[in-house]
Amino acid sequence: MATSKAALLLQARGVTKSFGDLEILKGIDLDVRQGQVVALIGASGSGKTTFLRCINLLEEYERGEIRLDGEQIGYRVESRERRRLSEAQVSAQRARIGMVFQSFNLFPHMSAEQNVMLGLTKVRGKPKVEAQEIARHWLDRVGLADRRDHYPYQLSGGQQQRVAIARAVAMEPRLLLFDEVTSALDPELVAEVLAVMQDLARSGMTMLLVSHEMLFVRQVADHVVFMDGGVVAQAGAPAEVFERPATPRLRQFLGRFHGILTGAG
Amino acid sequence: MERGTFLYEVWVARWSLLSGFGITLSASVLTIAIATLLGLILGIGLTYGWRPLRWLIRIYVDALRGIPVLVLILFAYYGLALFKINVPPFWAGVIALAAFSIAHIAETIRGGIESLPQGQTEAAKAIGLQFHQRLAYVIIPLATRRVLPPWMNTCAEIVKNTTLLSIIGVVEFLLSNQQAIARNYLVLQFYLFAAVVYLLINFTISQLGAKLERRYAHFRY
Amino acid sequence: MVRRGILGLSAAGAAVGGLASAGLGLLAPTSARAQEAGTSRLQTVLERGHLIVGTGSTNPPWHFEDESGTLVGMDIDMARLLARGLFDDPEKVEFVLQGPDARIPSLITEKVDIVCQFMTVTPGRAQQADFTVPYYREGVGVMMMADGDYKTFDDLKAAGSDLTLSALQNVFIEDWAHKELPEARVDQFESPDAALQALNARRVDGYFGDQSAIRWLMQQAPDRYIDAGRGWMPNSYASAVKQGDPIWLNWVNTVYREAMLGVDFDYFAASYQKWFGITLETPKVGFPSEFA
Repeated sequence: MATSKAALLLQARGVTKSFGDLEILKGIDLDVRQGQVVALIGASGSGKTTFLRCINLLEEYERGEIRLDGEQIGYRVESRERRRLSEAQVSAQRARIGMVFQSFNLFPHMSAEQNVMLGLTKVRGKPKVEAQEIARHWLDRVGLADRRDHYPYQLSGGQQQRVAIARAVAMEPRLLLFDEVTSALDPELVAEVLAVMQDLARSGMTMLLVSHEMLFVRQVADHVVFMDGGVVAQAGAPAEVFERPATPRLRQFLGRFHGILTGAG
Repeated sequence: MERGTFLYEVWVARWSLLSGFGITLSASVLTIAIATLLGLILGIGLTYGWRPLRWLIRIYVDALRGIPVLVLILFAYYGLALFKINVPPFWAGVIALAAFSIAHIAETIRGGIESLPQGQTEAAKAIGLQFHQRLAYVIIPLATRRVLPPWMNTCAEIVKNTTLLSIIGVVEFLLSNQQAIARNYLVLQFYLFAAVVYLLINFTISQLGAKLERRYAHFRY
Repeated sequence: MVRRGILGLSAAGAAVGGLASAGLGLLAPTSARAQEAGTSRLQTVLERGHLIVGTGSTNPPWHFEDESGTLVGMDIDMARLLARGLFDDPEKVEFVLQGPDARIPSLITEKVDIVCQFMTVTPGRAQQADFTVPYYREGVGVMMMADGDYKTFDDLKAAGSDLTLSALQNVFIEDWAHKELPEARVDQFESPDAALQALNARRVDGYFGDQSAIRWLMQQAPDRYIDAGRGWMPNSYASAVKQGDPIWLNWVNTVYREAMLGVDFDYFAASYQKWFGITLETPKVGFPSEFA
């Protein structure tokens, strides 16, 4: 597990975002250190997913800054004016941040292996043979060695999500984002995906996840951030957040998972 | 073969009919190629272009879809001549047909792209693909499947519309039949013959389309 | 030479030609445009080295393709006569095929030097193009089976309401027939072929149509049909040129007039014989009878 001495990887300061009149993010501060697993928890509408999407610029944030390895994501400041980076620069930044989605979003016209290879060949510029080797390695790692020629529609939800994880991690990202990756799965398929994630966490991958799997969060995360109404309401080690909720809102939120958490405790 | 029978008259007119068939085919193929390429570009512009560009393409698409093809053909041949632009009739016809079909294909492409799940674009962005790469490897291949049936309809319309080129003197297949009729008065036989040939061309197109559709059958989401 | 839509594609030898020759079309054909303002078309045509004529390809005996795929007919003969007058070579003419509706537009846009395409002279059209002197007077008439009940126009007239005619569909066709045969019944058909078939099958007593078409049909099947011998609804066929070029118009008129009455009478008379089966009387030598 990463300690606080590990290098700062992601640094968010005062990030705001509105959809029309509705202010979703009201100034988010967050640090993620190398090798850390950070979990964002909170009720739906608290802004966790929006914040996650700002990190790889699937959403534009309005004020504040997000830095990866010290480099601001999406914008450069030029004589006090914020300018959006070029398409090529934004894409290069995104390639350093992996993302796994709730709805898998595998490319339906490509086999599992081709899904994993696409970024390797087109973005990383790897020769096909090498990309194929990497793809096979990661599909093997997520337990799908025998499914590499299958198309997404031939795979179960859990298998699709594992391919999606392989696709993201094969790019050797500095940071991996998980956006409620088990929410769309049938309950019996959740475990296989969480197992893969736990395996990744152990191997030292830096991960930022939005999740409602409180048991998993409690067991795997180094740092838990409770978001409420577009701000970070409480953050700290899992034991601290789960056992000493500072606000009634967090207490109320955790109450919903009470059985699971105490049962695991 | 006896003089005055249909088969005899077809034999007599064989070169003219073959030439007409060749012109119908080449006008169709050229129009389909031009319209598909430019329609794709305009369709992408219509979906992703910055606002003034989208607006301009929208005006073009709506205007062209509202003008009869016949008028476009006459304009390309005679109208442009008034501005001292002399286009040979064959090319005037191809340009007019293409201009019309581009509008239809652009609109079809836009619809195809917009019907794709947003998640596909986001997944492509997330692995670091740039705009043109997202188009080439994800969006266009996926949209192709959705666009195939309406695109084939447009192709069949193009083939039928090539008959309009006869009004500016392009001896396409129908006019080559009419020339034979003028000589032998076998009106019903030759029109039936023409109908069967056009049907065969469009049947071939729909077969090709069905084959493509089968090839893309696994594009499910 | 005939420009069949795309440049240089002759009927023969174009079997494979469609796709390949489409490329040739990229080369713009010779434009009939005058080189500079103020120059007569006569000058332009002479400098160009060939005449560009607008015509059709589907109306015998005026302009149609014979079995060898060559454009022939009365209009074509007139065009070749002009080419001969210009270049001493009746082959130095490029035919631009067009529909009847295209006759005036192609003059206005200078796609062609002259239109030879069975063009009826009307006051309306004369406001948009300059007509030459006419070279044929069209009219409607009736054709019967040679071995049928009716032999003369008087027989038809006497038949009254017992008479049935076939004709190509047209809003005015009944009125036209009734001008001379007020009681006749007119069966209208979708195509000239069907109208003719009705006569062949003796479902009607006569075929009602253009005199030139009747004469052409009689030429095609000699002794099968007879002409009632009466024509009405006269209208004149002439060529037309773009407005405002008196030198060019006058030159064409001179050629046409001398074809009908002067040096080229034999050529003209041969065409009349060939396309209409009409034998023209040699113009009287002595005082020019047209001024009499």
